[in-house]
Amino acid sequence: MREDQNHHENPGLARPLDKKAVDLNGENSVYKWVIMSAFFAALIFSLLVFLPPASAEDENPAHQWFKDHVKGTLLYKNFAHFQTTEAEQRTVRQEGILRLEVDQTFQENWRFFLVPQWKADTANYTASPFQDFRDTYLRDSYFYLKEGYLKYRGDNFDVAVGKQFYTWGTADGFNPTDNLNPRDYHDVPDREKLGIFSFAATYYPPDASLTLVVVPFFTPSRLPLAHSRWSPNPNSKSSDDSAFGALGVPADTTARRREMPGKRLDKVQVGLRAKQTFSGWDVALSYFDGYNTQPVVRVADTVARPRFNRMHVIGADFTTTSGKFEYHGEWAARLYESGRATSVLPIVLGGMYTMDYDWVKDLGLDQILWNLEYVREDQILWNLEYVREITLRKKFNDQYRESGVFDRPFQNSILTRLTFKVDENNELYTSINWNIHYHRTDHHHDNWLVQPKFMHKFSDSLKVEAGWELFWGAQNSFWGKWKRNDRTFAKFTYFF
Amino acid sequence: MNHAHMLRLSRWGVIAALAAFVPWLSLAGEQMTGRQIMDKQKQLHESKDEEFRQDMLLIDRNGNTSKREVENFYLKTPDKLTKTMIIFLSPADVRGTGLLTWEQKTREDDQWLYLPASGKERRIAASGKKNKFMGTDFAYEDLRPENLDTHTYNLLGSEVVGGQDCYVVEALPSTDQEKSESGYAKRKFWIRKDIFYTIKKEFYNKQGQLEKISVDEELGNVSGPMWRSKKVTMEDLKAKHKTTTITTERKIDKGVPDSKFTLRELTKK
Repeated sequence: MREDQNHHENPGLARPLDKKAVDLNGENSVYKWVIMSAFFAALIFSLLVFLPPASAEDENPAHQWFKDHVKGTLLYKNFAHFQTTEAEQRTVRQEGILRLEVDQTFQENWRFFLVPQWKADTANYTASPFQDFRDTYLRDSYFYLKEGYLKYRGDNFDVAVGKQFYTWGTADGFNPTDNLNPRDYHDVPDREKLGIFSFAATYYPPDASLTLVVVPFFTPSRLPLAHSRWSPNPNSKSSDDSAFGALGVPADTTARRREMPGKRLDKVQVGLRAKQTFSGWDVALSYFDGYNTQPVVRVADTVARPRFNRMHVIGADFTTTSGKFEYHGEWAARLYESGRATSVLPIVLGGMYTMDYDWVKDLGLDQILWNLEYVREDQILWNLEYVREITLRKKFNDQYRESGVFDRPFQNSILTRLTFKVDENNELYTSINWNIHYHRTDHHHDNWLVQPKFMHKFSDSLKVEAGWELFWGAQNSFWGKWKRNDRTFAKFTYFF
Repeated sequence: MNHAHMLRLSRWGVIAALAAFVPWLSLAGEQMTGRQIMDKQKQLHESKDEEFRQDMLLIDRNGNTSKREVENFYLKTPDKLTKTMIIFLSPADVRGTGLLTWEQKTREDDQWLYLPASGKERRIAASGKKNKFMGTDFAYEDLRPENLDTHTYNLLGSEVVGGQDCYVVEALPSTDQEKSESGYAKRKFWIRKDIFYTIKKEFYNKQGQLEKISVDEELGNVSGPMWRSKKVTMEDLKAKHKTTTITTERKIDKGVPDSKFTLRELTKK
């Protein structure tokens, strides 16, 4: 398979792969980002200059403003793998992130919130100085606007515009109703959520909320790079730079660049969520009309082209409590257009049990939390959650290959997280993700991800999280394909 | 108005004043019961709404101190149920964390915890009220207003604490639900006789052992008959850990709106 796409695309044009990725740092994108950066710099400067100064006793108003309105985080991550892979020979990857949060409220009703971030890593997951406006580059950028919006708060409504995060659903480990934001899968266990440029309006009747989200242009998820150890097919000998090796694309096809939904009115994505609290229950209904942020591949003649599927997601979720238990459920019918992918109904059922202090203190602990979720689109989450996926309509368009690589990891799974809180400064967690397959075939084997972790706070400003990430299963199972990626990790976080 | 009329009026005034004091005098003379003392305390010091900021100092057995700043809101609804909201303002790693509680009469309380890192509120089981609140020595149940209907109060006697003559009242859970949900088999209150304000509490665990002591200091008259302490220290005797709260700002009965106690407010940061 050959590959001719890299970072951002003009649909319909095939180009030879250029490892130096001219378009990664393309003049046009840099120009856009210079404009954007200048805009935000001007905005911050304006806020500094025009907003009321700090109190008279503060000698330096800018310093006082910074203290009141900016908080920062400095992160260092170290991942040490036990083995090399054919795709990636290095065993240690390091990552550093500086993140600021600028939060300014003015004229009582307006709020400006900005999260700029600077990032670097030793495995070249981060490459370009900036992202393009739609966040379509395959790699992370050194400077990145993680979040940034302007919000107006009315008496019983909010309106916000800018780059935002949405957290729909009540489950912990897997939220089938949460489809607005793409994710960064460069490091699969991290799978960090990405902000999305959007307009959001929420109306608040008593004990309820009604939210409308409009996403004017599409941002895809960032899949692992082909030569990364997180590529779905890390032992692939293909020379392409994309992560499509595992899709079963015939070797003699030419891989074209991704075909992105255009910037047209009919490509706009819309989400709606209504939530109501009554008699001890929180219940929500949601609808999303938009694109799956992960591609399918269309194979026609000798050409393979990743495309993004339009889908309609009708979802519901609830949470309630009884005694010491919290229970929740979440499900969503994910219906794809034109049979390009299998329409499914993932169902998550879960709960959380908190053991009482008067019991756990005898063990020298402050608290034990047990989270179990079972998800059925064949999926489980333990917090405790069970996940099960039910197939609604099989893909019938033979021209398309589904990836399902990150999109449907849980088809019959149990997700659980057990937290031992020793005291305020020390916590032990173990989370387990178990994909169960009763009928084992070439494509279905039980597989596991186990993540024991320890958190220690040196002070209110400095903490470390360290642990293991261990994968089990057959090479062709979801977690098993990364079993050479077993690793230890340490993450230091400094707050200021 | 002639002199005789004035005399009649003033006589009626004296009688009215005496009449107003009769129940009080009779209680003082006959010795109040534990429940009457608690009722009186509630009557004098309960507000309709409150808003206050506190510094929380967490002090471990080695004397290491960490500080947290919190903002508290409290509202008594027309149906005599309480709504509370606690928001953490600092340190940076917990900033924005919030806890919203709606008291319910006939079922479990509604309670939501918001952790900014997760970006969404989470309904939590309020029956875990014996658990510690955010690493402090206060259990969730310690932060709630006293529920007089789920306890029996016995007057044990009088004691002088910090130079103040106090009633000593014992509080025992009286309902099955309270017995099962509370982490305490018994609490003892030292209530100042002059102002009916609790200045010391002892908390006994289910085994009957003294587990925690809280002491209120720097009392001040904040509004009408209402008193509040500026400083409260809760000490966990077994863990040898202390939490001191120092109130830095307080507003009482200034009209905190019901809309403050919503999920919208909880998740706004």
